[in-house]
Amino acid sequence: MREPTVYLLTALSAGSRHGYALISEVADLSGGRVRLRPGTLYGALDRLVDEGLVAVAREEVVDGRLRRYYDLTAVGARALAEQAARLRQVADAAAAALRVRGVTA
Amino acid sequence: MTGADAPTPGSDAASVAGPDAAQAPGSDAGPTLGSGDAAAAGTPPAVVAWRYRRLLGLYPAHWQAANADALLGVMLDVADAEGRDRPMAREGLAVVRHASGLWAAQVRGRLERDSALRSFSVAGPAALVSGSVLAALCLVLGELAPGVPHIWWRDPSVRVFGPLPTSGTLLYAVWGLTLGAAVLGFGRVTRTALWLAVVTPALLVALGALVWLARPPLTVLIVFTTFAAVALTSPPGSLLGSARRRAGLAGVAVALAAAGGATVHDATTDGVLWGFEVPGDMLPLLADSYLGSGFYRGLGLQAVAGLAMPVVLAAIALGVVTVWRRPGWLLAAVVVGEPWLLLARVMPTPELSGMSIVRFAALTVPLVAAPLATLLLVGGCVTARTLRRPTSG
Repeated sequence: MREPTVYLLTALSAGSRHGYALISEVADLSGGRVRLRPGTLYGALDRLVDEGLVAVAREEVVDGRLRRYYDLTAVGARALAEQAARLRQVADAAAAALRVRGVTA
Repeated sequence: MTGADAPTPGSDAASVAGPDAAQAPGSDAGPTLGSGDAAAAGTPPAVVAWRYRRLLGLYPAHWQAANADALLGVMLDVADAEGRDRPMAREGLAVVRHASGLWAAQVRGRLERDSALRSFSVAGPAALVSGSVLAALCLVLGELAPGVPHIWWRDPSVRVFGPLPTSGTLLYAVWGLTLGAAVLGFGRVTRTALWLAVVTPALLVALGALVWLARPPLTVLIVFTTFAAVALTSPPGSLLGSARRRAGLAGVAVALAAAGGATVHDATTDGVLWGFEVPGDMLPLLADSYLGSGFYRGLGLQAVAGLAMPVVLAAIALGVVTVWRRPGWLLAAVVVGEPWLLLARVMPTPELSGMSIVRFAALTVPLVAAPLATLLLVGGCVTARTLRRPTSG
C-alpha cells in the first residue's frame, strides 16, 4: 500500500469526508509532504472504491457545488489495520536496530 | 450519516494547519467562490468554473457523467483555498494522468469483450513471428552459411564484422532474445527487447557510415524496424497471452523458418523456386548471386520473398473474407505482409534487377492498395460502430 493511500484511509477512518476535506487532511497527516491534486485524489478514490476499501457515503450540494462524501468500508478498515501493524513492525525493527548503535528513534 | 461525522470544509479546515486551511471554501464557515481570491482578482466565478470544466473534457463520457460535477467541486474548493482562478500545470497533469488511465482501461475492456476490436491484436504476434523468422533466416543463410562471402558487396574497403560478414548478427541476436522472452512469458523483457529491435537497425546504419562496417542492406533493416514497431504497438497483453498461445507462436516461427530455409536452399542450389525452374540463362548467376554476393543480394532474399508471397496472399484473402467481423486480421495481413513483399525489392544482382523490380512493384501496389481500401471502408465502419456502442463499465 502506497503512502498516499495509507493517509487517505487514515483520514477516512475518523468518519466520512468529501474531496477537499481529504486533500486537507492528507496534507495535515503527512506534515505537508503529500499534497494531492484533485485528479490524483479521484484516481486514488476510483481505485479504492473498485477494491472495496472505500465507498461513496452520500452527496450534497453546497453553494452550487456538488460534494461527494466517501467512507471507509469494513474491508478498508481491516486493510488499514493490517498496514498499520506492518508499519509498526518495521518501525519497531528499525528502532531496535538503532538502539544497538546507541541512537534513539 | 450524521452531521457530526460528515465535516464541512470549514470544520476540516480547523484541523488543518496553515493559512490555506482557514480559506476552506464552499461551506458555512469558509468563504465561497464569490468571496475567494479569484473573485477578489475580478474573475467571474462562472469563468473560473468554465476553465476547470474544460479539463474535465479529457475524461471518457461515462466517467464525466458520473463524476465530473463532484471533481469540479473539489477543484474549485482547492482553487479558492489557494487563491487561484485557473488550473495549475500540475493539476492539469494529474487530470491527464488519471484520464489517460481511464481511457486505457476502457479500450482494454472493449478489446477483451469485442471480437472486432480484439482482432487487431493479431498484428503483434504476426509481426513478432515475422521478425524472428526473418532474423533466423538472415543469421543462418546470410551470416553463418559456409561459402558466404566476407567481402561486402564486392567492396574490399568495407570492414566485415569480425568472423561474420555483417553487423546484422547484433540485430538477429536482439530478435532471438525477443522471441525467447515472449515464449517464456517475460512481458517486460519482451517490450524492452522490441524497443532495442526498433533502434538497432538505425545503430547499424550509423556504424556503417561512421566506421565503414558492413551491414545488411537498408531495405532489410527497414523491414526489421517495421516488424518491431508493429509488435510494440500491439494492444497490451495481446503479444504474449496464455502459455498455449506462446507455444503456438514459437511453433509457427520455427516451422516458417525451417520452410524458408529449405526454400532458399533449393532456390540457390537447384535453380528451382516454388516448383518453377529459374530460366537457363540465369543459372550461371545462381551460385554467384548467393555465394558470390551473399544472401542479402540476389536469389537469397528473393527466395524468401517467394516463400512469403503465398503466405501473404492467403492472409490477405482470409482478411478480406473476415473483414466484417474481424477487421484487424486484414490490417495485420497488409501491415505485416507488405514488408515481406518489400524484401523482393532489395537490390538484386544487376543482371536480375530490371525484371524483378518491375514485376514485384506491379504486383504489390494492388496487393496493398485494394485490401487497405476495403479495410478503411468496412473495418472503419465496424470499428466506429463498436466504439460508439455504450459499455457497461
